[in-house]
Amino acid sequence: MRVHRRDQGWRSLLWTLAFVLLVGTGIPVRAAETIPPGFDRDLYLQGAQKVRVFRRSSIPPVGRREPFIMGTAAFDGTGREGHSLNLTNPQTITALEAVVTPLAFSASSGATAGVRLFGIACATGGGSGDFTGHHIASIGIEIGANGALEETFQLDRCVDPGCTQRQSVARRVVGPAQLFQPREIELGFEANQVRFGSYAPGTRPGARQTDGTAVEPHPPGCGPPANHQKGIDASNETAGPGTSASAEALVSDPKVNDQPAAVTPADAPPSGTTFPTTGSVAPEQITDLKFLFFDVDPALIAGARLLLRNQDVLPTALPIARIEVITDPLFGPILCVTLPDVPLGVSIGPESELAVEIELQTPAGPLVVTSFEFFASPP
Amino acid sequence: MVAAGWLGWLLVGAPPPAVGLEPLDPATWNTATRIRVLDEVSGTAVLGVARLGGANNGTAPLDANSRLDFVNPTTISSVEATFRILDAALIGSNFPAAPAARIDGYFYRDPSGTGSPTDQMGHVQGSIRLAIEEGTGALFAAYFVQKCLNALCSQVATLLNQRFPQAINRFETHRLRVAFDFTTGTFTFQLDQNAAVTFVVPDTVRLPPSFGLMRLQARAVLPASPTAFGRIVARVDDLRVNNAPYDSFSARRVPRTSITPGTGTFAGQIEGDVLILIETGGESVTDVRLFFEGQDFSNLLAGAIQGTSAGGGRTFRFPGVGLSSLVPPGQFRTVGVIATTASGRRASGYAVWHRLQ
Repeated sequence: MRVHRRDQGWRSLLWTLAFVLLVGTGIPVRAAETIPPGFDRDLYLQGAQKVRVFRRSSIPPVGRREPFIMGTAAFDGTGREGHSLNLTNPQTITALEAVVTPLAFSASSGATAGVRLFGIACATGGGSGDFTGHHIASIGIEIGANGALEETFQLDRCVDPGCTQRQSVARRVVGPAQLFQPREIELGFEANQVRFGSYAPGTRPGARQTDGTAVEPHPPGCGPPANHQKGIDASNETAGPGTSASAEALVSDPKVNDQPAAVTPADAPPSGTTFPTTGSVAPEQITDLKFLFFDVDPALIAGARLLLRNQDVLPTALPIARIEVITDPLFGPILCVTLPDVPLGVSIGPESELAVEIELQTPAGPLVVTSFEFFASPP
Repeated sequence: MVAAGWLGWLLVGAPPPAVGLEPLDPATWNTATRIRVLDEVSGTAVLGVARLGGANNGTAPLDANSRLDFVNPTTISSVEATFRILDAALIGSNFPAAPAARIDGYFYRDPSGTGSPTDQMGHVQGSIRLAIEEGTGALFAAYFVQKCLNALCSQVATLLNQRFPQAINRFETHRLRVAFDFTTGTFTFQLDQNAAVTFVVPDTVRLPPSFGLMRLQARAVLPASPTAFGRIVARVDDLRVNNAPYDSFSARRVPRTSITPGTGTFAGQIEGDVLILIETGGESVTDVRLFFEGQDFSNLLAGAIQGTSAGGGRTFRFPGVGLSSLVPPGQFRTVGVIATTASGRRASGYAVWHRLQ
């Protein structure tokens, strides 16, 4: 399985990367256009929403800020739909921050999609469970009806109890956005106004309390809301047959009231992850494979298997596997199994799963921890 | 000590595994923190769902699902597809519905409802699934028939609920089929090439469904618990509807771009090929741009090993890239590609590489 190391390609890539990073030659990029989700609209009804999150786990110490991806996509839909990550205890939140990097955006004419920080800022009506008159502030990156990728601030008013319909109260284009270019954004909730800010990472001019880029006053008569919601939202708005919209963005360093917001639970069970992850491979493709295991006590390991297409291939692979414990400052010890120079395109065939299973004998009984990915040749 | 543990590997048991698709922290994030996966990967569909805790931090049950709904659902009398469970886990007890990947839909209704497109009263649902068992964590195949007892179908009467005796394992391919013969009132459920199971419904008056529901679905219904956890991820392929090919998930009607290695986490040193795959369905590619951390590195493409992708499109392969040299410990880096086709359509793809130590 081992082949001769080939280093010429990556070294030249590294040198070029270093050079370009030094001179900084960023070129603006507009969003992709009118690419609906892959599923065929002739076969399926409105579809293809997705939320993808890093396949990770472990004990997140205080301050851990793991990036995750939020996305939404729809075709032939009507109206607004999507996903939100709603924060607990929203009534105590006065500031939201995150770094948002647009990864994939598309919209047909008249449709929109975006990934935003959001929160109910004030209300002119409604009651418990009735969102009528509630004003929702948001800042984020969206692809507009004109196909342009923009960073926008919005203040919308709910016009029905379920807030299925919204009316725009204020909308400001903070500036053009570019695919793969991160932005540090913030949303502040104050007594009579919403503060919003946007910066290139690392350029923020000091403390949040004094340096927000702009404020939007609450509309007259807009007071404390009866209902509270704040969080991160990926949503799209389509207008019936033939319209589509999608948005995916990387969200990192989320903060609530200036404190990092942990993403994964502190009591996560032992788990595994594999790199590379599920994807298409070329026939000639060769790569190191890594299987990582978190929260695994080596003393509890009672057995393991390396599986290729559900067949145990461990005896063949074991002599070349590199097994080590890596201590990560945030995640602690990680059991790391590396299979070097695996000819993925040859060994897996048209489509295969590769997996490592570890058997643990815990005080509560046996536990199998699996790390796997699925690889396939393109159709 | 680690080496000793690995050298002493033994294969035992099949308790609940834990892997991948980790949930978000319900102490931080409230009601909507389910993870849904619905994607096409190299000619197969991947459906999945993961969720920690019931609704509102576990104060109520929560139905988490990801699905593909068929067009013209009321005209469908049979559905079959290949399923392969990639990932399944369950922690906790009293799940209203354990994590499962399934074919599911209404095949007829009795005359008790109004016949309105919004009235589910009297609709009869047939379902066949691969699921994970509460307690043991074992996978199994099963099927059921149930009838809606009100317009919202919030109450049901179970007419049939059985398991297939065959053992099910992760990564195995299984063919699931459900069909309904409207004339004889007979459901047929079949797992692989095993003998089909039939069930004759008690209703003598059978009407076509008025409420359209027919779908492929990954689903877990969490109990009212803050710690219960459910997860299922399945590959679905070679879908047939009404005994005719319906979807192989291999069509490429819109341009798409993917990068391998895809988004993921690694630790330590790693080296491998980086593949940019542009699939166009035959349309020529007129422009490709490569970005790393938002900076344009398109000039590197000329040095890549270039080829054509099956079904039309292009590939760019960078052999032996030292990914660990590109991503500092504890950080992540974003790679992006934008491809433009001859007709002016664009498709962007990305990968976020996350390095621990």
